[in-house]
Amino acid sequence: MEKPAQRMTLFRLKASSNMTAAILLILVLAVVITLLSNRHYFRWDLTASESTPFRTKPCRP
Amino acid sequence: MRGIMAVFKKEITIAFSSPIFYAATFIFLVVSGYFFYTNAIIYTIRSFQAGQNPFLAERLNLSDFVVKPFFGDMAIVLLLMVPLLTMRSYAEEKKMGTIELLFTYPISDGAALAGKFAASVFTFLTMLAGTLLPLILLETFAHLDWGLIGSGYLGIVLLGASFIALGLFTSSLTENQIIAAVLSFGAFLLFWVIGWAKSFAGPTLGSILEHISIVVHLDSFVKGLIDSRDLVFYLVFIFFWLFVTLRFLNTRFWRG
Amino acid sequence: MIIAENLTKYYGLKPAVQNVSFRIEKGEIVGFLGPNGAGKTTILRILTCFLQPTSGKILVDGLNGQTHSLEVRKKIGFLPETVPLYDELTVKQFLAFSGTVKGLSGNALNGEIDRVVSSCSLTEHRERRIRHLSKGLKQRVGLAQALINNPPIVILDEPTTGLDPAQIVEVRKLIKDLAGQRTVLLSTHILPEVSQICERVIILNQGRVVAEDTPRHLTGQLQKGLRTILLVDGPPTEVQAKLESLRGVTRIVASHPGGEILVESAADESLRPLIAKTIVESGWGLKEMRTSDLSLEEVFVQLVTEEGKD
Repeated sequence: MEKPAQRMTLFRLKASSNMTAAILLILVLAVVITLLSNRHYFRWDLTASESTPFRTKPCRP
Repeated sequence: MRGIMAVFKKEITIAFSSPIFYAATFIFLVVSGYFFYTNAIIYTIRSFQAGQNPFLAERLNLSDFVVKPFFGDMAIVLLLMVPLLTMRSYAEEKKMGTIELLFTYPISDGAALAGKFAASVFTFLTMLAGTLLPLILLETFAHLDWGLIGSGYLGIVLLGASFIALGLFTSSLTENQIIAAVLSFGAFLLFWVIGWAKSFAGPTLGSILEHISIVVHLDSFVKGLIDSRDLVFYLVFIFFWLFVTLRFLNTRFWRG
Repeated sequence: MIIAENLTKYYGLKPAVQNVSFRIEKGEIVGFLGPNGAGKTTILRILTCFLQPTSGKILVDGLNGQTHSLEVRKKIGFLPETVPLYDELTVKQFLAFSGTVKGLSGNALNGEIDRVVSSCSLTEHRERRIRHLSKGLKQRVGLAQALINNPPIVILDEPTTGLDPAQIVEVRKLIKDLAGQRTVLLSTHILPEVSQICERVIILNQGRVVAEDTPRHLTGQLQKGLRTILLVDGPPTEVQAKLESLRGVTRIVASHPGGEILVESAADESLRPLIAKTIVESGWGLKEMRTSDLSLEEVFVQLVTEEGKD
């Protein structure tokens, strides 16, 4: 039964590449968000002694 | 929303009636408690020594010697315990066949996942609540920095939630709970040690590896700093693995 | 109303279901009949959106199962073959879960739980953990979750397998009582069940529809003549030879240890008195004589083995 088998593998190939593409897209999005967050970040010191110098305003490197 | 609550309730009822939860909680609390205890004892000894040594006395404080290591130790034990919490999630449902109920009920895969995630996090928080005890006890003797402690717990909660998201994913891959636990443990370990390779890699690769490392981002929380970069990392990590789980669950339709 | 069009499902390269089409009207009780591996469970799983077909589609009240999966699932109460239940929950907690997911809350939820608990005779077991229940009780819990919130379509996959005879009778009664406004789809390989409960039967074998009709029509179609069973007091071989010599008799089966003889003959009513007369005139005692129409079991076996010869 060649034809159904071929159709099946083609179908599955399409579906699996669809899933991989979606995951890769989200991965790219994650990387972009992380990169952006690295450019504009803020820190908030909760320690009682305020032992670390902190900035509450966004920091541009 | 209703569906999420229903799944949430069901999951916590099942989790709290399972001996694994109690065993994991017990071990977690005993081991982290033991670490806390040893650190406290060592601190006490050093305090006596500091009576004669002003240089030591200056540096000696509870936050650096007891509280911060406490959170670091908790993180290590969580590495081992969270797989036990999440391994059951999808794997057992697949094995028992109840996944057929979940997938034929009028609830979306996403809602079911949200319910399971929320339930696992809630279970984890219950487990974590026990660690307050040593801190509260110590507070009766000394003055602790609760701002630091709050930030530390936030970091631990985010770390735990990240482990849980990854653990749910590995649970969805298999019917076998043991395999799910082993896979999640392996994955957690991978994300933990990946930062260590930084010293061997070039500058760009090194900083990338450092950024992926899940434990590096805990550092500033434990120090009392809430850094938005770390917050973003954890949130992105959690959503990424939840998304992958959802996508993977969808593949059942075309896989054999 | 459920329409299935050219459903095909492959597991890997193996076809489990091939080109199955059928149509079920509102309020019917339809049975899917077939040997193990015929594809019954696969078809039911496609209807309930647990599986997606490799090709073909299903329409439930006009909604496509692939694009409107959630709406389709809202209309269906399903009892899977394995009767999967959450062992650590109590009956009440489990039904509360099912009911909530299916859209109930508050007083409506409690009311529905009470209703299905009483109609499935589970009242004494409400607070018991499912793990501690017997198989029959678990089956009833499974049925209860399928019925909660009154879905218009109820699909039951082998609902009586593994039950003892008393429990089987109870469950069948429950199913029959479901009829009326609800559409019931039932799959089984127990033939008497189908003839007792179902209005229509769809027979499947090796993933294809082999026959589809009411039980009576099916037996009528395949039975090509008269069937008579005799209990004769006399030497078996001679009796057999005598009967075979009668015109119109097509086949004699002398099988049972009790000495019963099955006589298949052409559809000629006058043959019966002739048979009786022949026996008596030969000097043998005619102890019993009755008609025996083809049972659904025999229809089934015939259809399935005919198909198997392809």
